[in-house]
Amino acid sequence: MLTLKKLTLMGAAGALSALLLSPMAQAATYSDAQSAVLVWAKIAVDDSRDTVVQITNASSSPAAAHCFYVNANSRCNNTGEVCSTSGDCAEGLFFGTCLPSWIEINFDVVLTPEQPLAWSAAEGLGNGQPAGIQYDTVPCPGGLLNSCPGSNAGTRVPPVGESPFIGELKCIQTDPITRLPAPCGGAGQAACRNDLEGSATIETVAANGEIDAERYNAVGLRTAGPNDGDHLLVIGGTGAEYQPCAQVLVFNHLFDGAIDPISGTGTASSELSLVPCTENFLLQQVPQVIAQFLVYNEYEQRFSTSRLVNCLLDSPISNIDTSQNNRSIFSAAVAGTVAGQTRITGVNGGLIGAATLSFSSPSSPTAGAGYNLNQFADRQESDFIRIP
Amino acid sequence: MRVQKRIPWLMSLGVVLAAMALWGTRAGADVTSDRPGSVVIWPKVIADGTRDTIISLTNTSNSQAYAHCEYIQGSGRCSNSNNFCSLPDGSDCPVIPGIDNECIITWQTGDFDVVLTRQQPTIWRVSTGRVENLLMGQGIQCVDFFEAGPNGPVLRQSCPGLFLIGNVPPAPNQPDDPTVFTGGFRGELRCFQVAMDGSLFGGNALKGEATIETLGSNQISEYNSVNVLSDQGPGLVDGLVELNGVNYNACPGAVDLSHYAPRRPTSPVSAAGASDLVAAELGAPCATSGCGVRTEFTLVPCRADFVAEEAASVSAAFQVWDEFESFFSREQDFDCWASLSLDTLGFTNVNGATFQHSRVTSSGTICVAGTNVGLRGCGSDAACGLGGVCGPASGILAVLEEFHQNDNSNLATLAGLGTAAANAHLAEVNGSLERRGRCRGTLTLCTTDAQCPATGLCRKASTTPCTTDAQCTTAGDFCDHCINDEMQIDTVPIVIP
Repeated sequence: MLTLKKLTLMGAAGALSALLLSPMAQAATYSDAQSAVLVWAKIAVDDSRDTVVQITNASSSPAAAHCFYVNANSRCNNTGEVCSTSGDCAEGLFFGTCLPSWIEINFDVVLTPEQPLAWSAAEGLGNGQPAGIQYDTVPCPGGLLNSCPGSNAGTRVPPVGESPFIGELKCIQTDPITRLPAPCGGAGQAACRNDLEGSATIETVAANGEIDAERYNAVGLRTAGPNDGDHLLVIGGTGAEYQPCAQVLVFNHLFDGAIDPISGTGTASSELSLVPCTENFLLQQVPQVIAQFLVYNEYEQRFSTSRLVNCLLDSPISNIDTSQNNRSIFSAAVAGTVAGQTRITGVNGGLIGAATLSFSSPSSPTAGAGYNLNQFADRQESDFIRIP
Repeated sequence: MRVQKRIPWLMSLGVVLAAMALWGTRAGADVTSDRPGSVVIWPKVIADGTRDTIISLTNTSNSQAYAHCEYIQGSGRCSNSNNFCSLPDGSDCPVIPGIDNECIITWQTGDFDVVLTRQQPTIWRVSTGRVENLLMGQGIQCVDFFEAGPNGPVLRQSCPGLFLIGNVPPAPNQPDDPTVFTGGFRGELRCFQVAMDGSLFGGNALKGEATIETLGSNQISEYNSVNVLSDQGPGLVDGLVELNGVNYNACPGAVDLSHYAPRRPTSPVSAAGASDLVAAELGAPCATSGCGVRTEFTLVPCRADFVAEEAASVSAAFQVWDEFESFFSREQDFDCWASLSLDTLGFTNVNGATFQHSRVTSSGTICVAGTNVGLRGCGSDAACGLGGVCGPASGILAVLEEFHQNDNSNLATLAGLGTAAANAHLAEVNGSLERRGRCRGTLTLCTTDAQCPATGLCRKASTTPCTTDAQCTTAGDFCDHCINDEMQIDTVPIVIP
């Protein structure tokens, strides 16, 4: 006879079985779907490199976005100049210290229905400025100059603050007047919208004129629940307004120094860019997130390391754990195989990332490709983006 | 009197565990390029003597994973000029005065299995495949060698690492004699997560990438595989992947691609497309080429039948908006696989735009079974002939690739062209990322069986009414209600040498 105790035990066992057999909870950031928040994890500008940022309104209604460039250049504490190591901070006989830095600027983008829009990070996108270089103005400036049914009036994208520049870009779909997310999803309110798609192409030109283009999709956060339209975006967790960031980022790569299986001569080099999910643009604060790396080679052997993500981590993978690349766990010589899988977990915060792979050889210019990381499982805790 | 002792904590545990089990599943299914899945699709795989591809496949789970994979030769050949082509009407074949230059498309497949240990990544080169070499120790490079083939030596490759399956063959249509190249593979690759007995397994453990390289250069394009997640896992029919949002995710209702526009009217005639936004500023020579950027879309149908070896036919609707809000559209049929640019489709750039936003949708109906299988625009099962089943036209998956030109590059040979690939975006249709199916018989749009008449029809015994699968007693048969995309594979046990 089935007793209450037996029934309860059976129910618990059944639920436990369902849990074990059910597909794992899937992370909900998207690099391939319309979203309400877009994150470009790597924007790079210098004398030989620029980034084409592209954003599209995928809906049949106008859309607006409030965007934030984050300048993650390190700076000398003595000169304030951009640096990569303390060796760059010489001032006479003395050296300063190269410290991480975080400077944010924000701007607005207004898109007409179904409109694609793009700009050079080095040059930005004006509004009503005389057309000089090919793409200096918005396509639909409004007013007497407008040839479109709609208008991009209100759009003004500044060039990135300096060159060299390394940083990220975040765009949040907002009300064009308040510059905050439109309240939505509640009783009597309109459904929350996910209208934005984006990509970035980092371009370099070799000495022989050959163009190297590395394109990746912006990572998107889709709406998850009612949005109160305030300055605090809740990402995942309790009261989520946007779907959560991933618990684990899955990064497939060739180990640095591996030989290209196709050419047999090219040497592989990968770069990884990570930015935190949580950012406070109002108080100019970024939490320090520890990224834990589990690295698997093709022999199922595992290595691990950790690294602090202070605003932005943009690094060749074989410099993540050491300054001596050939001793890195990301080096093919150490790992012992050509291909690897790295699982990245953020401690004290979620992470979003992008990667590039390049091949270099004596006979051809170095060239590469950008690609997106995969995600696995949801973060249980909320991340937050606070905007002014 | 017996008193039943209640154990409150046990009841709470049951509730919590049940909640966790439900929380672990996803409603609102959709395919994805950034999460592991149970079906992994690489829409663009090239090994044609000009370019080659590295396939990466990873098991993201803590259990051993098995995959059954199928190469699909998707590209056709023009009958009188031997160019690669994609369009059944031959409109992408060069015009030869006085001679019909048709596009001959044959759906050639090649299958193999892969076994991955827990968390194992693996790679192989498409033109050579990969062979396990137990004598090969750890190292930083793969090693090429020749293997005796029926028509001469065949180039193969071994790489350091565990490769339990022992052998992944080269893609179809690779030369036996590498000094005389007559063939070439352009198509796609699909891998299905299976159990060791070959039956489908919804473990959601697999993910991949494809790196396409232009031979003789370091130019590469890389994109993520498109992965189909399993929700409730495979149904009752052996080898049938039902992309219905219940068993497996449904395909997207539409795919979005944002890209450089075709050549502007003011660009040099030799320009491949609208001018690269930053190349000239970075010092690329652009005087004669305008540093145009050509964009190729590669489209594959969601539907695939590897048992009957039938290519899916698609009627693709292209909607294109430029940045000036101008709108263009056209429809194009294709079979099995298509890789083409907008100017091949006849789109121009009259407004001189730099960027365009394209949406590709598949709609309408098609015969998915019967003597008229592949007939587009059916209105009933009867239109599909004997054993006919009229269902929704196949959904579409896509990737795009850009080719960045400069004055020194060669569009025909790809020499000097910069390349970059990206995954398409999933577009919402009627507020959903998931593609709707059609009810059997009524052909009304549906997302679940409950939205269709309670009495359906068996798929194989196509005139037999049914309400449950058990009522369809023919081997491999099931009861159709809401029909969506499907893939069918042979279930053959995996043999590890």
